[in-house]
Amino acid sequence: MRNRLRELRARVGWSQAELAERLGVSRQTVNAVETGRYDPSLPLAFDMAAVFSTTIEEIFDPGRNSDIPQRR
Amino acid sequence: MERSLYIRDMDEISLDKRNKAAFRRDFLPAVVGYWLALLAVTFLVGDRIDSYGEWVLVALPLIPALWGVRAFTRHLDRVDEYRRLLQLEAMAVGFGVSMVVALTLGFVGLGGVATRSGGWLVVVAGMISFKLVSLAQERRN
Repeated sequence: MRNRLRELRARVGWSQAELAERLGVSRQTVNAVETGRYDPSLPLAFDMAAVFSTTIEEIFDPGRNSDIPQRR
Repeated sequence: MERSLYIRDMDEISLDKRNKAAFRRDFLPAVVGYWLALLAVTFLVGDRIDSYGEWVLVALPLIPALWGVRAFTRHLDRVDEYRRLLQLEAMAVGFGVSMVVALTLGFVGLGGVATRSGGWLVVVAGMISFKLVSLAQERRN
């Protein structure tokens, strides 16, 4: 899943460690999410959205390979 | 200046380091207890169990072992979801390797070849594979 976490973090000028501290997770976790190695749980995704005062959809993009059919 | 100090201080006491320190504090009694029990069994029991008291002594390492399991469970509760996933992956590999070694020793035993310290092989193979996977994960992150 693609995400804009690095971009949002750069916009507010936080280091990975600062963001990790705000989210209550380790720096490695933030790094793993930013590099796409790990997709966070829903509660963590909500926390990320809250930290940047935005929505989950603004941060995460399931991409074109999403198997979920679009509702008409 | 103030900002860089803040970041450095925060990094010094990062969540990960605090968790590692807490785990070491929790796990240390298990390690010390295990070595004490091992020494007691080695010197007091010897090669053969002759009494009920010696059976108790031989079972003594179970106490620090269970303490270690408790420390590790608490560690898993403390770490965040990604670290927990990594730890569980490493544990799964360690468990798998232990099972393969135990199975191999079982078949070797069926073939009539007695392995006197086979149990130790299971433990050592499991621990080494767990540690190797953990180290590989650390390097990747």
